[in-house]
Amino acid sequence: MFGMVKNVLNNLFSKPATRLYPKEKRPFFKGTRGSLEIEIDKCIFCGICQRKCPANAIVVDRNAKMWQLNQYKCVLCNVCVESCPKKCLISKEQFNAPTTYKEFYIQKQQEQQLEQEKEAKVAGAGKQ
Amino acid sequence: MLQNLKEIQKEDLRKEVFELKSSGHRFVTATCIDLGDGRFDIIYHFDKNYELKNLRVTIENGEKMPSISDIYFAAVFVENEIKDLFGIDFENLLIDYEGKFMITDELYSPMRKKPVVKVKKGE
Amino acid sequence: MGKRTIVPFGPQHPVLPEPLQLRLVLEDEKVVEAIPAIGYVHRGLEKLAEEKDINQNIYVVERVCGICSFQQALAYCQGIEELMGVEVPERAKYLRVIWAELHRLHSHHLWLGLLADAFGFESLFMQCWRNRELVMDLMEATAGSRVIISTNIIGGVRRDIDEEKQKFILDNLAKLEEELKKIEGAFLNDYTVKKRLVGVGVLSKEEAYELGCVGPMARASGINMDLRTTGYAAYGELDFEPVVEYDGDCYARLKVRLKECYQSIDLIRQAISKMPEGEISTPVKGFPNGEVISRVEQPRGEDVYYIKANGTKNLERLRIRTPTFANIPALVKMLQGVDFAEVPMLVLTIDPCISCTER
Repeated sequence: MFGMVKNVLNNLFSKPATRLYPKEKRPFFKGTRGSLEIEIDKCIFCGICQRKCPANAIVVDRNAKMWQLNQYKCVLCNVCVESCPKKCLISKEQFNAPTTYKEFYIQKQQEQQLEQEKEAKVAGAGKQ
Repeated sequence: MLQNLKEIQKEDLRKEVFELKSSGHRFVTATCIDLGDGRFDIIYHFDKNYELKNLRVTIENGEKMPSISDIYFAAVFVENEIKDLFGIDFENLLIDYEGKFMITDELYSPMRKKPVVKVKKGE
Repeated sequence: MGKRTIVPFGPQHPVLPEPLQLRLVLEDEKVVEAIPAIGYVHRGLEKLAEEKDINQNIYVVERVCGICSFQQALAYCQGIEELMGVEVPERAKYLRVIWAELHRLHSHHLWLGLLADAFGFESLFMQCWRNRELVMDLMEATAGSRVIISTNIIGGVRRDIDEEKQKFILDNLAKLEEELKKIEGAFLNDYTVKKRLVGVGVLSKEEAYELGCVGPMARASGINMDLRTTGYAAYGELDFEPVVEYDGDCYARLKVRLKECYQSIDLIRQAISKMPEGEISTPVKGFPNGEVISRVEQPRGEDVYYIKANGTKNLERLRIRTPTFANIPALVKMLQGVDFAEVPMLVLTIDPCISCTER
């Protein structure tokens, strides 16, 4: 019976064992496999990630220079990250927030970027 | 390679299994393989002191297999599963689920190999 | 002759983690016969494994079961490595042992919580599941995710555990051992818990062997069977004895699983202290050819894989026999002659994992 009284007093005066989410979020560990992102400028569109994916979630289009990911099929296994020859795929260390509509993650490599740089150089030379 | 593999006919199956039971073996499982040309292979696995013994029986499409569920009660669920997924009939099953153990009526022997249709380019 | 009724212990029940149906024939509150019916979570994974290639199959096979997922991938990788003649480096074998024993701890803590919930002791259920969070934190820190960790590949493992993480593992294990000692008293020495568990669902040693029981069910009836003593993946160099009890009732099965928790903590400490330096995987070329059987000790029992390959990048046949499938005939036999009120607890003592059973 005295063990019980000690327990009760302990529980009255110590802090709660739960966390006040969403004010205080639990930090993820380093090395957690989170959701996927690509740096599109380094990609050479070889298609290795598409062949190795176990869930068939990646579609690579070489002619249109487009890389598409179906996030709802991806199982976060990171095989594509390890087998990319240019190391342009990164796995963030957190998960995506929930949404109310389904949308694929599409990235396209821009060709007009080179022309824009040329125009800026000419305009800069003209101003001076 | 499978250790201790013995190929037998389906008529000798019950005699062999009875000998294995009297020498103290335990029933592990049974595997069914579709060989692709109308024949099926059923392999029975037994174990004693971490050593496996395997028996292989080959049958044609449409033949019936004798059941060993009165010698080993543990075999009754495996044989019902083979009957559902491959369509092979067993005689004298102790508990017979008649093809409804694991799958519903619309699927018909889903694990059998489907015939491959080759299409030439340009047709 | 009393009155007979048939009651369905349905697919939805508050005590079951997964759907399983038992048709119970009752005669005045005592069970006379029990007929199981499964098939509510059949996904056809054996057929899917024939269409994906050999490396993609690891991720399919892991998702057969959520709790014992590492040992499923381990059995698959060991089978293919034996067919192709690949030699796994020593450090990878020890790393595989560490993750396999962490999964065993996770599975036994989950089962302890569900058993406490089955006889109504909810606060003990919450304590066990709070300890399970410590184990899942360890898995996230070392491998990347909490439940399905995907670290096996053909030829070794994908990630390494360095000195800092080894210290984190040892600290967490010390905390876990203290908490286990506090809970053990509540499970083993309580008067009402003993009244519900002792003498219920007895299986003698001959019956258990003949019905094909595996795992802690067989070890609680006196059969000394543990596949880890055959020495796959660095178990041959570690020092342990299988835990065996002789009574054969639910109380003996509880004692076996509690003592295995302590044994797992000890095995992880031994593996960390003996782990050699070296590489973590060997490169693999070519395709396998032939047939092989590989067996592994899962938290629930013995797991058998039959693999047949024919030299191309797809397998010809993959057959999985999980331990719960071998324990169901024992359940049908154990349920004859018990009271109706003890049925939920008896179903839980075989540790049912129905998604493994049906794949």
